[in-house]
Amino acid sequence: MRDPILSLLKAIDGERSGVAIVWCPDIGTRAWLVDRVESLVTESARPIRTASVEQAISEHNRLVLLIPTDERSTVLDMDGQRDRLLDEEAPRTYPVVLFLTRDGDGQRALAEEAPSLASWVRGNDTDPEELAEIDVDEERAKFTNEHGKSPEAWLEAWRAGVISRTPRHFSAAFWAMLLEGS
Amino acid sequence: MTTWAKLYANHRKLRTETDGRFETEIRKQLTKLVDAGHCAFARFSYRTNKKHKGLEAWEIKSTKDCDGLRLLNVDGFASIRFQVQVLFERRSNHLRALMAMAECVRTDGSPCVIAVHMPDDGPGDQQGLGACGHAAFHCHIGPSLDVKPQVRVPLPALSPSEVAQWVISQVVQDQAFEPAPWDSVNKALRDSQAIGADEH
Repeated sequence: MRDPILSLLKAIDGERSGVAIVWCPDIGTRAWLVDRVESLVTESARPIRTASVEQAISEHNRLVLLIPTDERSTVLDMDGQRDRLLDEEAPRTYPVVLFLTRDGDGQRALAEEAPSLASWVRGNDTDPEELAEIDVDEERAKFTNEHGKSPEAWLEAWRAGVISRTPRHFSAAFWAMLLEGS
Repeated sequence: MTTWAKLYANHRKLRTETDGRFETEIRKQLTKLVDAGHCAFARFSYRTNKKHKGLEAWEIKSTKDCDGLRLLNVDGFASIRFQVQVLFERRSNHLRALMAMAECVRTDGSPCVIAVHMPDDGPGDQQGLGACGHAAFHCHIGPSLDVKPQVRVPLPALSPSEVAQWVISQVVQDQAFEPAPWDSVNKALRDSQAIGADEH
């Protein structure tokens, strides 16, 4: 299922791995995604934000939101810390969530210079914004099939009060508004 | 300015004063419902359209792609479907549209709908004849949404999470789901009176 929130919940599941990566389309969106991850955990996770790999490793009983100032350096630092992050004597309760920019320096470093980290996080990374993006053509066809009109034509009738005010139609209006003009 | 004009001004202000934290606050409401045994699992999730950068359509999902949340174990009701939908411009922090609804069937089998609406202001939110008869932010309560008269109760400028709280409080009559217990209201009144006295 393509659901951005479910994918984040899976990535930050403390039982899975010591590290998760959240891909961000740009720095502005990164700030929203950090807030979003923070909002998904219980208070017991005591989320902490840091740019320091050293602090991220030492806070093994908290959910660490690792927000790099230099993505490449952070990836390379993390690459050498696998044993410390997976210390069996002091297992992490919550993972380190590393926020990297899609197609950025961190992603390049991960692919080319950090093989250990790359293999370790495989399956524990997610791109929620990409998952949230609808397939516009498919959704428009689905809407038209279900409601007998294009989103624009349906909304025109809806706004004119021609379509009955049922709960199903109110929900359809939100769907149509997301598709309108695209 | 009349009360109705002021109310509409407040509704417009709400659109620009709502920030992205509503998702966190609504998620807390859903967690409370899960913890109290009123639903099994719920997530407040979103979809975007790459052609409208920053526009997010939020809604409650329960299992799979089920539309809305089935509330369980609520006194007086055989079934309740609860939904909150938000259309939000993330880049400009602008609330485009909001809906919160509880579609209920009472234990005697009679239907009841509580539906809060704030229409999309893209094409304009001035519907009906005016800000009194058709307030931009209003609630319908009745056996269905199309039964005459279609009463629209004007609402104050509540944030999306406050609207969710309000709808829940109308069906789950439990102190734990009262967002403004009288004790806290009275304390706030006493505190504000004390500040007023200090200022004089």
